[in-house]
Amino acid sequence: MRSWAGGFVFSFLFIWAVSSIFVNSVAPVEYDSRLDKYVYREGTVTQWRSEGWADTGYGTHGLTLLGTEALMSSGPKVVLWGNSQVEALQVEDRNRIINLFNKMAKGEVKGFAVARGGNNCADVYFDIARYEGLIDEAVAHVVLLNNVKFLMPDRDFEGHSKFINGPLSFVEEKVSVSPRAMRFWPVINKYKLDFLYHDIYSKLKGYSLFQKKINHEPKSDLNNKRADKDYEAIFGFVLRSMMSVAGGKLVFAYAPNLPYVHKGKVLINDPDSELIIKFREKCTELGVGFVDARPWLGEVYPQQGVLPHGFFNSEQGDGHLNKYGHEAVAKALHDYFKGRIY
Amino acid sequence: MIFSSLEFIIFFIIVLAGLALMPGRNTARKTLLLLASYYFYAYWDWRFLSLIWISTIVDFIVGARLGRTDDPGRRKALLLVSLCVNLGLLGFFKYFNFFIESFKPLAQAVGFNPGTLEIILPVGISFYTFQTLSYTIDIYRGKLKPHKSMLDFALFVAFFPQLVAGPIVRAAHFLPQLVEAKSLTRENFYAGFQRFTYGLFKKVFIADRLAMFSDHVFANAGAYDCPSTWLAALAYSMQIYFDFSGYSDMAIGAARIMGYDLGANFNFPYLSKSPREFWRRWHISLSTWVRDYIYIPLGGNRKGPVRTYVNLMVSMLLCGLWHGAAWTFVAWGGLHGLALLGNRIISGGNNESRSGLVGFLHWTGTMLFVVVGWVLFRSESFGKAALMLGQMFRPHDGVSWLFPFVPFILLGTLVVHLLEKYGVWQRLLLPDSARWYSPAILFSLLWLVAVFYPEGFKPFIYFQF
Repeated sequence: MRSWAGGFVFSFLFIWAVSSIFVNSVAPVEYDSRLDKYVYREGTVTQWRSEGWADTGYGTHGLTLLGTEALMSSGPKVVLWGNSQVEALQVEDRNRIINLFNKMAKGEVKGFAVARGGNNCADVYFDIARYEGLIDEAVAHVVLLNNVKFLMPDRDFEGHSKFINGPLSFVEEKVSVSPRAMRFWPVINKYKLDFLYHDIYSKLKGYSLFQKKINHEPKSDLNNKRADKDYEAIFGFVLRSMMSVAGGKLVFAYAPNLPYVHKGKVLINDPDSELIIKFREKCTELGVGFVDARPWLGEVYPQQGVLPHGFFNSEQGDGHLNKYGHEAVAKALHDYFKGRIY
Repeated sequence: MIFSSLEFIIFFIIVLAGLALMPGRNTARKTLLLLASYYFYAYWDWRFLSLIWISTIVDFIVGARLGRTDDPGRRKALLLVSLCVNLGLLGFFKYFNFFIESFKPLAQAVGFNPGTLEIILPVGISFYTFQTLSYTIDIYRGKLKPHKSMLDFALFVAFFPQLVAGPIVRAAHFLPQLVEAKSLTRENFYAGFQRFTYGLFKKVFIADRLAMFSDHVFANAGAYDCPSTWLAALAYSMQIYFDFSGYSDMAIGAARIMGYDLGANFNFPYLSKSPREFWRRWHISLSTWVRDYIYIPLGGNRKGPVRTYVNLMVSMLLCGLWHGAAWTFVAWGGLHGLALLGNRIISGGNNESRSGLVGFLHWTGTMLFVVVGWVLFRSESFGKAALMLGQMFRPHDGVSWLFPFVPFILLGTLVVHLLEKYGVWQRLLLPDSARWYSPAILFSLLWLVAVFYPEGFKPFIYFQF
């Protein structure tokens, strides 16, 4: 009996040690009264291991340490908005788009990123309005577009604002955090007990015993082709709404998952190219900047032998931008803004 | 339900609780096990229980009738009934569309246009049909007496630990274990739990993680560069070993907990220094079945060298075909047949042990052959196999993806195999009585499984056979 009890204790210590290195962190949050939303808690360090391998430290207002430094610095600012491709937990902060861009800009402008996994254009719309008050001199708001779905209505993600069709509108939804999470996540993060939450509690909670698992994937109506006038209306609404909060400083940067591996070949053709042409035309019509990062992304494979998406522990050409992909997009932004804002 | 699911754990606990409530009541225990086995199978698809019942009833009656007649003609006819029913079921559900597609051009050339059917492959059919055939064939040969109890025979066919993916258990080995009631003992529980845990760890922590890498590279054969392709081939070689031996360990462990022995199915195959040795260590229950029911009835090595080689090739081609309804499997079997042939010609059938540098070279050559064979086995077509092998041996540019988990597991596998070779592994981790550190190891492995359990369902590779 003693060897079983002792064995269990030893094994707990063993998995605690192993998971402190190999398991994703929980990220404690705090309420930011100035932004009126929950953000990552200042002083937290989280680790991401399931795709890529990186640690991220957080400063004020939910920004990373480098982002906080940029926000607090004087001079013109560029803000990069987006979803998990911008949040980029898979990559070290210094290798993310905006910080590489800062290096290329040689301090003439300072950029920081505001992003969260699962964000859509409605989230960005409300966040620009929130953060505007913090920024003393914003010269550009760059929205990273990795997929046309980012701009489409009727995609329902829990905990995110919604873009509704009929009539077209943005509806705000703020993340709510349970008192239990507020109480326990800081402790879990501090003592690296994340495995108990992520891998035991969450898995058991989501387990459908003896039942088919419910598909939580959001509905996507992209499979249903829309009429051109519908895309015209959607793109026009998104751009005008964003311009109303970002002023004349709005720029969209298009960085899709290209190139990718499919049936034994490395392909560069973009299935959304026709829609992107329509979107770009609308940007031009309304005076919104557009950066096409595809040529730079396409150069990564011939030059580096790797694809700009994917990591040592994930499928190549799929998932999130790796450091080569971040560098490619940063170069695209540098090429666009050099001579325009610096 | 699969062994690595919460549903199975709950199911198994309920079965054990039922068995614990019936100490000494053998008929009641066997009835419970039989009903539990049918429930286990029906959980996947209850309609295909009918096929298990057909095999069970037909072979039980054939066995009984074989025991009552000495007339050679009648005995042959009875055996033919068993063969036709079992191989007929297997042939229809597993190979109907394969043969239609394969011979369609020929059929169309003579004005006949056969169509394919939408047929679901019943899980485990390759295993339980071979199992029941071993019963009727052994009775026919006079090696086994017909079993009087239909309950025992039905349980032998449907016993849930080995029903869907083996080991292929022989009637002569299993039926005698059903005669007396087995009680749940501490020793059996510990040994079975240990075996089950090792199997679970091999499947969930190792095999499923390797699959994430090898599946993608094999699906995109030719896109990846030479080192990445080699890594994927090695990854698959380990994946199939850990997946299948892991499942076997879980089956053997679950049976042991209940007091039953299913025999061994793997014996550190990557220690092999020849193809012949490989087949004595890999999927032992299948290789011995093929030897005893195909190779030896064809004449084995008793009719001269040429006939021996023919018998060997036929046996291995059928062994390949058993694995799946595709010509790549047949080719893989043929490749191993040729290797066994070559082994026999070169070494003259002598099983001399090789050591030192010569032994190491033989081991390297055998492993290289086995890995190349797995590339053919895994590939969806000959074209894709050619792309993979082309990139391995005549490389061109491609995407680089070096997944660090693969060399880590490769090193671990080599170490464990070396520990086994020098007799340390068994002493360290599978002692007769629990050592003080054993619970720590078992709980640590269970934690690793729980914490690193993969997202999404990953079926056992051998479920598709």
